[in-house]
Amino acid sequence: MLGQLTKFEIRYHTRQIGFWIAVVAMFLVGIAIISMPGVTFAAETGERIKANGAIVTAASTSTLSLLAMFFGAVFVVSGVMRDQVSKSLEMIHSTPVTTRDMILSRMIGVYVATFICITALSIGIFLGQFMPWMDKDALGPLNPFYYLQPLLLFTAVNTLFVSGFYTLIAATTSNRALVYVSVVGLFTAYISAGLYVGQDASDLITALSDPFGASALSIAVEFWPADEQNTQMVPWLGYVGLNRLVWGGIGLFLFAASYGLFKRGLITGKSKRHHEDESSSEQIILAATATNMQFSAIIATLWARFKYEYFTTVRSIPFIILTLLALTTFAISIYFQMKFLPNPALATSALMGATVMGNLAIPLLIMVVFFSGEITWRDKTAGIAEILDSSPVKNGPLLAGKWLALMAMVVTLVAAGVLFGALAQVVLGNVPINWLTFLNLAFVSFAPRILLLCVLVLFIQNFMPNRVIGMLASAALVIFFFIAMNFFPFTHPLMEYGSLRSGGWSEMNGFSSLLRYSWFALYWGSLAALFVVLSTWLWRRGTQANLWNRFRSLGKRMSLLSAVLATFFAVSFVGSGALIYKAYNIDNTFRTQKQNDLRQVEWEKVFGENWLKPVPKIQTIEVDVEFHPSKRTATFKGSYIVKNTSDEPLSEVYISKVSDHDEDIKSLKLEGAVRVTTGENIEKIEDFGYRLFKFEPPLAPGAISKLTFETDFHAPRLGDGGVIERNGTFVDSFRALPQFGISDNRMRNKDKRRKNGLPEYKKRPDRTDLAARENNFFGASADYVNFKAKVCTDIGQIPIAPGKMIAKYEENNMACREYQTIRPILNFFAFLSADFEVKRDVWKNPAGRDVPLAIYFHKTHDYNVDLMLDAMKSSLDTFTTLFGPYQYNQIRIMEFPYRSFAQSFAGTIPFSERIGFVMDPGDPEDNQKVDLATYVTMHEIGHQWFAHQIVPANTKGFNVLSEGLTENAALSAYEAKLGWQKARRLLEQRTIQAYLTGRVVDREDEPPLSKAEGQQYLDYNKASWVFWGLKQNMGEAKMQAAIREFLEEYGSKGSPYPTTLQLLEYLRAAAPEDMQLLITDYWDRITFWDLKLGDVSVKPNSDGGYRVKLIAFVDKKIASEETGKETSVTKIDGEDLNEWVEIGFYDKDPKETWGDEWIKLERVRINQLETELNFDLYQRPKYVLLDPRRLLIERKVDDNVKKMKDDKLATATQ
Amino acid sequence: MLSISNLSKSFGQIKALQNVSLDLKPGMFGLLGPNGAGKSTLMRNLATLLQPDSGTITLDGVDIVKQPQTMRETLGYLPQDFGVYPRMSAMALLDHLAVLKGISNKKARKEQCENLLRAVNLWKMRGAAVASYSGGMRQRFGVAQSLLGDPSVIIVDEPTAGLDPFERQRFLDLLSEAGEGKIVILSTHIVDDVRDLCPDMAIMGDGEIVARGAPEELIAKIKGKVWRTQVDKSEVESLKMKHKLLSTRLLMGGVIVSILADKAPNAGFEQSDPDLEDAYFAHLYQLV
Repeated sequence: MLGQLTKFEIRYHTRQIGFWIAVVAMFLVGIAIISMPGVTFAAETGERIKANGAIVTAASTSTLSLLAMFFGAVFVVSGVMRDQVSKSLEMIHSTPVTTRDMILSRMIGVYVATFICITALSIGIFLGQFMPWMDKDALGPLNPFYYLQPLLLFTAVNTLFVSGFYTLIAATTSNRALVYVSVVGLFTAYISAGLYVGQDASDLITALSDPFGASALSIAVEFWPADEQNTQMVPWLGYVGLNRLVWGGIGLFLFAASYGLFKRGLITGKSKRHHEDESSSEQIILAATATNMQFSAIIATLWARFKYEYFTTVRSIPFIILTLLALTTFAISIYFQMKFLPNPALATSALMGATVMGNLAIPLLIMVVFFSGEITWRDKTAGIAEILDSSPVKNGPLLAGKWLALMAMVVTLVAAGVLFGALAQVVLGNVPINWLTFLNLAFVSFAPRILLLCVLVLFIQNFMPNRVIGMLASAALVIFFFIAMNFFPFTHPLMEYGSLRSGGWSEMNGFSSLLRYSWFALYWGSLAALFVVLSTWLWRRGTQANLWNRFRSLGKRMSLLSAVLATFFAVSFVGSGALIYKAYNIDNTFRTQKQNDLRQVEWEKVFGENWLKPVPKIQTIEVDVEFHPSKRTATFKGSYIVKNTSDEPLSEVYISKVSDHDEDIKSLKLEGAVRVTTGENIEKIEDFGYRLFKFEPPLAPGAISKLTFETDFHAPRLGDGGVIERNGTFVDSFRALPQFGISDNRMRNKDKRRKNGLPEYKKRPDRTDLAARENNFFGASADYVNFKAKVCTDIGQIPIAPGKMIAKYEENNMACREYQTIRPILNFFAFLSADFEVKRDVWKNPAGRDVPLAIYFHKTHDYNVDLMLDAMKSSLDTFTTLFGPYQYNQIRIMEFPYRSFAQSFAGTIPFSERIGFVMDPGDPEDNQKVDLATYVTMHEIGHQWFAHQIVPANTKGFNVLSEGLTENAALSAYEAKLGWQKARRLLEQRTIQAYLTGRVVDREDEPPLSKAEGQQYLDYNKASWVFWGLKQNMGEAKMQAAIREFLEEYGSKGSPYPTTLQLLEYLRAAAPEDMQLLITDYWDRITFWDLKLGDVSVKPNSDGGYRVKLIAFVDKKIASEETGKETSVTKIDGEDLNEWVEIGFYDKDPKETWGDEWIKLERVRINQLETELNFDLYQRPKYVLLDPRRLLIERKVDDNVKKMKDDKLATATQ
Repeated sequence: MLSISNLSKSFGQIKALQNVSLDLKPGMFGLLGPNGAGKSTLMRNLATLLQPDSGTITLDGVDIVKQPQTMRETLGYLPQDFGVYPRMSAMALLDHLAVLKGISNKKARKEQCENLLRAVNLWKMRGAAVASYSGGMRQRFGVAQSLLGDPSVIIVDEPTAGLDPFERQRFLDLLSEAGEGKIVILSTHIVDDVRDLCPDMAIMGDGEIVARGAPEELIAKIKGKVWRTQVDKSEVESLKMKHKLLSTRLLMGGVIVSILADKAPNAGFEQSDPDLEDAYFAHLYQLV
C-alpha cells in the first residue's frame, strides 16, 4: 500500500507544471552559475580557481540549494495539503487508507520532488562546463566525486530540512497561507541569522547557524589557496560535518514531529456561522434616489474603491507580516551594525535612511508582486466581478482605485520605514535627525523605482489569464530588472526600467545627479503613464474578456481624451528616450562593459609601448582657477615650465586633453612644438583623450619649454556629469590640468586578456631597472614642482589648494585665495570649494616650527572634528619622533561629498563626508572597538612622509613604499595614542583578515610582498602585518630607525627613486643575523607558518613554581605564486625549518586582551615539526598560546591555544 | 422597453444564442429553460458583461451594445453565482456598491441602504460579514444590491437554486414586490418560480427561444392533450418510441408517464389538466 501510494505521490508531483518550472529553473541556474561570465561563481573562477573544482562545486550546490526554500513550500501545499486545497478532504480521508501510509507517502513524495529539483541544479552545475561559451581555461580535470559528494552532503540534508520544516507547518496548522508566509519567515530568519553571525560571532556559531551548510563550508575552507580549492574535497569532519549532523537531525525531527502531529479528517467542524433569521415584516420602500455619473460621482467612486483596496491591503496578514519582517530585519541589522561591529558608523540619518531602505527593498518587491495580483484579481477572486462590471462605475475610477492603492501601500511602508529609521536613530545615538536626508533617500531616491515597478506589474496583469500566472510573471519581471539586468554585458541605462539614477546623497550637496534624474524620471514616468492609459483600454470588463476580445473592442474603449493622452505620453517616452540616447551615445561616450573591454584592447593597439616613452618634466606650475559653483562651471588656466631631463632629444609628446569637448579647450600650447593633426591613428589618439605635439626642432636634453593652457569645465549635461558641485567640489590635478604622457590603461585581468587575444600582461619594471627608477609612481612627467595657485569661487565658499595661503581677498565679486608652496611638492594637487565651517588648532612642535592645523567641514558634521584634530596632533608627535620633521607649512583636512575615501596631498587632505566625519570612534578604553576616524586621519598624515617624502619608483613593489610604510606609521601612532591592545584589535580586522581574504578572491597571481603590483591586500594589509611582526621581533626602535635612515637617504630627493630593494637593505642591515631568514619569508616569498599546540601539562615544582611541558607542532610552508599551492620547507631541498616562535602563558583568557598581559612570554627557536618544550613559571598558567601577538603569517590560529582545566592541576593534560 | 433582436453568440463551436429576439415591457418576465440552454449568456449580454456576435439590444431606443453605460446606469443585476469581499459587513458592502452605482449623496445613500436592508430582512444582521450568511440570506442581499439606485431593469439569474422552499418563497415575494413597474427578468430552470409570478414568459432551449407568451397561453396550447397513466418501468422505453413523451415520474414502484396526444394513446391513459410543467416540456421538446 505504502509503495503504491508513494508511487502515486511521485507521479502526482512530477505531473505538476510548477514542478517542471522549478526543475528547469534550477537546471538553468546551475548552468549559468558555472559557465556564464559575470554570474557570481563564474565571475570568481578563471585560471586560478577552476569552475569545476571541488570547492566551487560544493559551494554553489550548498548556496543555491537554499532556493529549495521557495519551491519546497509549493510541493508541501500540493502534496501534504492537497486535500484541503482541492476540497476533497472529506472524500479522501474517509477511505480505508491507514493514516501512517497516507502521511508517510506524502512526506516521501515531497522529499523526492524537492530532491529532484535540487539535483537538477547539480546536473546544471555539471553540464555547465560543457557549454560552448564556457571558458576552457577555467576548467580543471573532471572528477565525478566533486559532484556526488555535495549531492549527499548538501542536497540530501537540505531537502530533509526544507521539506520537514514546511511539512510540520502544514501538518499542524492546515493553513496554506501560513505555509507561504513561513517561506518569507524562513528566508528572513536565514538572512537575519547571516547578518547576526556575519558580525563577530565565533566560527562555531557561524558554521552551525546556516541550515544549508554554506557558511560552514566557507569557514572550513576559509583562506584555502586556489590549488586546495580545486583539488581537495570538502572535509567530512569538522564544521561541515557538524553542521550537516545538526541540520540533518533537525530535519528528521521535523519529519517525525509532522508524522506525530498529523491530524486526519476535518480539523474545524464549522464552515458557516449560524445567523438567526428574521421574519418578513416591512414593506419595501424605494424612494427614488438621485444617481449620477458626474465628476463628483467619479471622485466618490474612486475614493470608495481606493479606500477599500488600500485598507484591505494594509490590513491583510501578508502585508502586516512582511512589514514586521522588514522592520525586524532592519532593527536587527542596524543593531548589530551599531553595537557589534568593531568600527560602527555614527547613527546618522544618512546611515539610518540607507539601511532601512535597504531592508525594505526585498519585502517591498515581494509585496508588489503579491499584491499586484491580489488587487487586480480581487473582484474575480471574491466573485463579485459581475456585479461591479454591470454597474455604471467607469473603468477609470475602478482601475485607478486599484493602482493607487498599491502605490499607497508602497508609500505607507516607505513612510513607516522613515519613521522607524528615525526612531532607531534616536534610540541608538545622539546625532540629531536630519529629516531632509530621510525624505530624500526614501521618496526621491528609493520609492520612485518601486512605484514605477507597481505600474509595470499592474500593466502586465492585463495580459495574464489569471492571478497566479500574473504573480509569476511579475516575479519574473522583478528578477529581470532588479537582478538579471546587472549581469548582461549589453545593459544600457535606457533598459533599466524605473531606475532614475539620482546618484549618491550628500548632506552637503543633495543628490549628485539631479539633471540625469529628471530626464530619466520623464522617460520612465511617460512610459508608466502610457501603461496607465493603455490599461484603461485593456481593462477586463465583463465575463468574456480575453485579450483578443479586448483588443477588438479597443476602439470603443478609446475616448478622445485618452487617445490624446496616450499619444502625448508615447511621444514623451520616445522623445525623452531618444534625447537620452543621443546624449549618452552620440554626444557622449556611454559604453557597455563589453564595449569598454574592446576599447581597452584598441587602446593597446593604438599606443603600443608609446606610453613608456620619456616626457619632459614639469618644473614649475602656476594655475588660476575660477570656480562658479552656482553655475556649476569652472575655468582652469595656467602654465607649466618644463624641461627635458633625459639624455635624448625629445621629438614628440602626448598631452592629455582634460576635456572631451574640444570647444572647452580654450587653449593648449607648447612652446617650440606644434599640434599634430594628421597622420596614422591621430583621430584615435584624440579620441582616447590626448593631443600629440611635435617639437620642431626636437627639445634638446636640458632645454626648457612652456605649456600654457586654459580649459573650461561645463555645467553638468545629460550623459556628461561635470565635476563642479554646488557645494563640495573636489577635483584633483589629473582631472583638472593637462598632463604629459599617456597614463597606463591596459587591461589587467589575465583571463580577459587571453579572451581578447592580447599578449601576456607586461608587469611593472624590475626594481633594478635604473631607467624606471627615474620616474616616480605619480607619473613620468615631474619630480618635485614649485606650485602657485590663485583659486576664486562664489562668495560664501572657501577655495582651497595645496600650499601656504599667501593672500585672501574679494575680486570681481568672488572670494579668492592664493596659495604657494614653501618647498617643492609632487605633481599632484587638489582644488576644492565649499561652504565650510573651519576649526583650527596648532601642533606645538617641541623641536622646531609649529604647524597650524585646520579642519574644513560641513556645518552639521562636527561630531568628530575635535577627535580628528587630536589624531592629527598625536600622529605628528609620533611621526616627527620616529621619522623626522614634517615638511610643509600647515595641515588641512577638507570634507567632500559622495566618494568614500581620504587622500593625502601636500599638507592638504580631502576627506570624504562618508568616513571619518561620521564614524563612531567608540570607547578609547574598549579593546574590542576600532577607531577608524582616528586611524584614517593618522594614515593620511603618514602619507606626508611616505608618498610625499619617500616617493616610490614606478617599479614592482612601488606602492608598498607608500601605503605599506604609511600603514606601519599609522599603526604606531595609533598604538602610541590608544595602546597595544587597541592596535592589535585594529590589526586583526584591517590587516590580517583583509590579507587572508584578499589573496583568496584575487583572480591574479599573488607576488611576494616586495614585488607587489598594486594589490591592496599586499600594499596595505600584508605590509602592515609584516611590519607589525618585524618590529616586535627585532625591536620597534631598531626597525623604525632603519626606516628613518632609509627616508633620510632617499626622502625628498627626486630621482632616482627608491624601491623595496633599498628599503630591505636598510631593514636587513638593522636586523640581527637570525632575523634575515624571517625578512626573506616576510618580503621575498609567500610564506605561511602553521602552528599547533599539542599536549600541555602543568606540574608544581619543588620550589613553589610550576613546570609546564608542552608539545608544539610548527611548520612553515612556501606558497606558489600561481596556484597558492603550499609546500612545507621540510620537503624543499636546501631549506630548513628554523623559526622564532613566541609562546605566551596566561592566567586569564588571552582573547580578552588580544594576547596581551601574559604571565610570561617565551621566545624559542624551533627546527622540528614536533617539539617538546619545558618552561618554569612562578605562577600557574590557565592558558598557553602559540604566537600570541600574531607575528607570523598564519591562516588559522584556532589550534594555537590550550586551556588548563582547574581540577587537573597535578597532571593536567588535554 | 427592452428590445432584443436577432441576438447570436457563440463560444468557439458552441452556439450559445441563436437569433434570439424578445421585446420586454415592465413587469415580471420569466425565462425558463434547462441548464445549458443559454439563459445566462442572454442575461450577461443584457447586463453588458458579454458582447453579442450579432444582433442588437436596445433599451428605450438606445443600443446598449454600443453604449453599455446607458444600461449600466439603470440596471440591477443579480448574477447566477456571486461572491462578496471577505470580512465586509452587509451595510459596508451595500454602501460601497451604492457609491459605484452613482449615489453620491451620503445621506441619501445611507437612507437607501438602510431601507433596503430592512426590506430584505437583513437589518439585524447588517453588521455581520456577508460572507458568513446562509444561502438565502446571501440571495436576499443580492436582491438588495440589485435594487440600489432604483433601477428600471432588474435581471436575476437563477436566484432560487439551492434555496430551501421557505427561503425560495420569501425571495420570490420580495422580488415581485420590488419589481413593480420595472422590467424584471427572472431566469430560472424551476417551473414553479415562473408559474406564480410572471405574467409573461419565454422558454429557451439550445440557444433559441422556443415559446413566448403568458403561462396560461402556453398551457392553453396543450389543453386536452395531456394523458397520464402508471406503467411498469419496463414499458417506458417502448412508450417513448411510440408517443410524444412529456415526462416520467417514479411513484411507488411504478412510473407515471405523461404523454402529449390529441386522443388517448390507449385505454390505460386518463386525460388530465395540463400544468405549466407540461407546457414547458411540450414546448421545450418542440412537441406542439
